[in-house]
Amino acid sequence: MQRDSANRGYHAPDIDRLIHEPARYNIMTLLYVVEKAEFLFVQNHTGMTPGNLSAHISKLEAGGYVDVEKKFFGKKPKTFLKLTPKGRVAFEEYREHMKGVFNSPPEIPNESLD
Amino acid sequence: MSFGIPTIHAFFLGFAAIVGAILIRKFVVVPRMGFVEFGQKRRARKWIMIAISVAILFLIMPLLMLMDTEYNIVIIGPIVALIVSLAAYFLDYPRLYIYGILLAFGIIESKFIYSLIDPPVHALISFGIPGVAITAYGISLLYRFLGQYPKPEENHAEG
Repeated sequence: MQRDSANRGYHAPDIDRLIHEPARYNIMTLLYVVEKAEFLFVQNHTGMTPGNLSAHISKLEAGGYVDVEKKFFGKKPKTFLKLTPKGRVAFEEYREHMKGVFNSPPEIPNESLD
Repeated sequence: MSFGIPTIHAFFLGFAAIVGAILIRKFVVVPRMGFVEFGQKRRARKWIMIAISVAILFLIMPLLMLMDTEYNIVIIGPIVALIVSLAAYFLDYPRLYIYGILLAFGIIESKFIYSLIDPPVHALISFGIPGVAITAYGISLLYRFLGQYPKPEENHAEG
């Protein structure tokens, strides 16, 4: 926690909000432990609907965290997802960041309790 | 070491089981669950398991065959259990520990009932019981899997 002197309040340190959202966190965690996964695999393991998963993947792709590759097997399209090196680093940083947040809870100065 | 069953039949059964597992993975599991390529750590674990298994098969097993003692079959049982247990550990499939014990039990048992029951019936009892148990469990898992993961519709929205 850092002191926000302008607002006389406290805010969490800069957390990567692209990863911090629970659904995207699930996607990132899953893709972190594999090399590459099909859209269907991620959908099965996160329990998300195709539309919802697709929307979150688009955000992660726009942030440069996930690489989306579409391939055709005969006439069937298949989508493969992979963490980019930037996404892998961002996820590791996020993990370290959150560990720090939970390991050292904030100390609230006495004057703010007055 | 034919256990009363021609060795070629045993190899054929083993080969058929491996081919069957590959075909089920390709045509049943992957279309329902989706393709995944695991990370380097997991792939490394798989190759370590294969290397240890091959080393055991090609170094220890021939030695035991050459020794040709009355009880070498009893030693082979735990070795088979060890190889299957290594696979269970490195591939993270706990049920393989039970399969290893069942196979070892069958091999050791075949030695002791050999003198009581004529071949090939003794081999069918020794290996048939573990085989049926493993197959029945596999079928029940497959049935549960099919219920849990239905085949997705052809035109569902992706990415």
